[in-house]
Amino acid sequence: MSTVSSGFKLGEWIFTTDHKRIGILYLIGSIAAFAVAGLMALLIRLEQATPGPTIVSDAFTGGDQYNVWLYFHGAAMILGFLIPGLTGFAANYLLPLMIGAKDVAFPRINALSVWLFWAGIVVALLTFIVPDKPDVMWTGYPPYSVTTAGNTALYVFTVHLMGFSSILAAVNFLVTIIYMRAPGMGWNQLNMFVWSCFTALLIQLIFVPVLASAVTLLLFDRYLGTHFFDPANGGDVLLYQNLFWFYSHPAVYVIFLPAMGIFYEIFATMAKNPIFNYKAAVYGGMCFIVVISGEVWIHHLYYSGMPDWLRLGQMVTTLMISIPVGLMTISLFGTLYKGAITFNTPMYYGTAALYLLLIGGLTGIPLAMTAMAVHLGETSFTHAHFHFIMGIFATFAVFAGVDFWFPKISGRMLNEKQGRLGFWLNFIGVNITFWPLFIIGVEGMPRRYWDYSQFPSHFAGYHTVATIGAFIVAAGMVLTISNWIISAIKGQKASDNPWGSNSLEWTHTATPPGPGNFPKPVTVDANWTPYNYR
Amino acid sequence: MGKRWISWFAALLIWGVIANGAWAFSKPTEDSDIDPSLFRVDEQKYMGVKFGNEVTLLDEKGAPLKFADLPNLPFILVPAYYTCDGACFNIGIALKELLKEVKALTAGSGFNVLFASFDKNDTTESLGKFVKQLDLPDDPIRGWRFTRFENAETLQSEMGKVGYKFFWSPRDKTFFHPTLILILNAEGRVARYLNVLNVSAKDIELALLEAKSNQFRPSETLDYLVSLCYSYNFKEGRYTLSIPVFVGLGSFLLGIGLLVGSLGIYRIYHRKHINK
Repeated sequence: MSTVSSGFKLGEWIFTTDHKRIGILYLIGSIAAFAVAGLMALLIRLEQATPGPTIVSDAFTGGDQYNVWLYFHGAAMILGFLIPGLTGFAANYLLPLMIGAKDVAFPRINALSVWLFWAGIVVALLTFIVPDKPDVMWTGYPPYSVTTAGNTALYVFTVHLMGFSSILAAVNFLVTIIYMRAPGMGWNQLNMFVWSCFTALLIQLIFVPVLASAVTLLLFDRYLGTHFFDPANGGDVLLYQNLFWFYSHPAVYVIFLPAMGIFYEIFATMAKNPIFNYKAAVYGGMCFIVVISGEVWIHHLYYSGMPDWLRLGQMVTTLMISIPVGLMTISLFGTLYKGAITFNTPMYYGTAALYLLLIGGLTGIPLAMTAMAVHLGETSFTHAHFHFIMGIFATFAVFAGVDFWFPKISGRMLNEKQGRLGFWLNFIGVNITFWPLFIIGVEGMPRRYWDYSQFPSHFAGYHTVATIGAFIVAAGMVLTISNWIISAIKGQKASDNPWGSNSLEWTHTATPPGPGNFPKPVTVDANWTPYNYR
Repeated sequence: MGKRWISWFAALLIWGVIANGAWAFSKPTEDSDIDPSLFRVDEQKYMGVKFGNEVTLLDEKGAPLKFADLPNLPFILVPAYYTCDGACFNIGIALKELLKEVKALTAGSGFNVLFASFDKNDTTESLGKFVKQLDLPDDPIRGWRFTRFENAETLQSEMGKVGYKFFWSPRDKTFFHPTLILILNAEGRVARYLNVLNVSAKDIELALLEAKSNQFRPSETLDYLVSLCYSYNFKEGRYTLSIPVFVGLGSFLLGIGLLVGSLGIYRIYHRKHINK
């Protein structure tokens, strides 16, 4: 009996403890969050298409409306789409299959985790119903979040639900990887995606509770009259920023690492090559990121006042991130070297990701350097940078991952033409959207402004181009997601291993895999690797 | 008749006393000459302001002393005047006693104390007398400097730049001034205002560490880390424990604990399962 072909029964899906179904529930929830957050992005871009009020009602309330869009876009994209899309959907569906396990260590906790995530999505969507809509960005900085008339509680509860969900998921997968690997499977035989999830979830588990406690104290300040972040009464407003970024910078790696893991799997399979410099990429790349990820958050506070030695130290550690990322990038390129590369839609996304990694990485260097960051940090240059390296890179990873494992998940092949068309629209649209923002960012266009009429008039042209780009991306997204839905219903039947992969989820399971995943227990020998293509 | 007269006189006297008392109590107190709120410093407005760029001081021997000549350390600036018969001496004594309890930093090597008289009539002699009265432990006194302003005209404006106000009262023949001390970093920028008669040694230590955060030595790392557990309470004018730091630290440990705990639970569960 397979996951998706046993006929649809709602009760089975609600009470399921099967990791594959839970993964699909994560995918549906995260794509829903992505769709609404994407609509917010279009509203933001439409508003910025011209200086002054464009689609907001008037100049007086325009900022309030715009802030709500910004809030939902940021919070839903990061907490509702990127993190759950990668560590929720992809990890849930693939991780047990890749290590030869029949399920996760704690299946019921896994089910609780997905429903907490869904509750978080519902609470986030209440934004559009309540009269006092939250308007605190995804950061919730006090004192604004404490004094605003907006509903800060919705923001806090969304973080709580999503955060608790991700803590449970992290506990589950870490235990699963440590204890439930197939007999004979050593640490150096793990898929890169498994390693990437292991390191990302380690970061997630250690740092998420700090964010949860910070927003809880924020809730107390807002509604119970405490003064944890009120300097006039003995609180420390900067402490919130420290606690927030102590989690939220490592959260970048929670997104980045599984995204890299997905591209590793695609590259190795499509190039029919083993992973280049496997150990360097795992230990020097992923594991080193875990070590260093908790020591760089202060670069988000360069402008908040700090001792010079700390600023200098943070500049060094932030730049040091380029070492593990560089190792992993070299490993990705090396994996393609002399490979017999099959260029299909997942590989298109993979190739584009190399470009995004390059541009996003290079534009991160000036932002790591204090002198440059003071000028660029609060401009649309930063906005474009993190969309390249985090937003678009990870979104392409989710799309590439769904496309790559689509035959395994649905038992059907994607429409390749529609997939490619969607890719090209996405790729071209992203560049049209964000390159203008790099340019006007350097010229001083601030982030988060809904009205920029007090800035040089030629900014308007760049904003208009960026808005056109956003609509091209939207068309690409619609094509991509509709391709999944249509192909899942009437796509061509897929074979068990259409890409000729050596990984366990392709070689040892049916398509789609049934309950228990494997017809018989999996064992591997010391010579087995998922990348044995030579 | 005589007795009646005495009774009337006694009654009148008692009523007189009562009436006088009642009048005295009911009479509103005359306003003080100086409203204390005038001395209040809007700390958040003046924090980070650089002090003493334009000023030349005269040291204990009357020799000119520029701020730039002072050791590259944070310092406690004590505005006072040496013929003061009230607060200034108490400030000096209180500071001396509090600094004995400051363990993390030592006067002279970790910071300096700089008395600066705002009275143009102060002389080397009045300064010397004041220092003698303070009875500081070392000779020469390590880390304590006593100075006067060379130019009385720049004095008021320079103090005004950092929000410190004082007034000469001709009637009382005294200066009215707050009992504030200023903690300045090595550049001379204001890091903190403390009311020396209302703070503990810990407050001074934390303020000095804060002022020194740009240049603390490796041996002071632990003290600096401890200082991060406190935040300054503007309302109370002292440092208080920063609860969010402990909450954050606790939740960080919780994450690690969750991982260790879940690994342990799985091991126990798995063993039981195998035994069954």
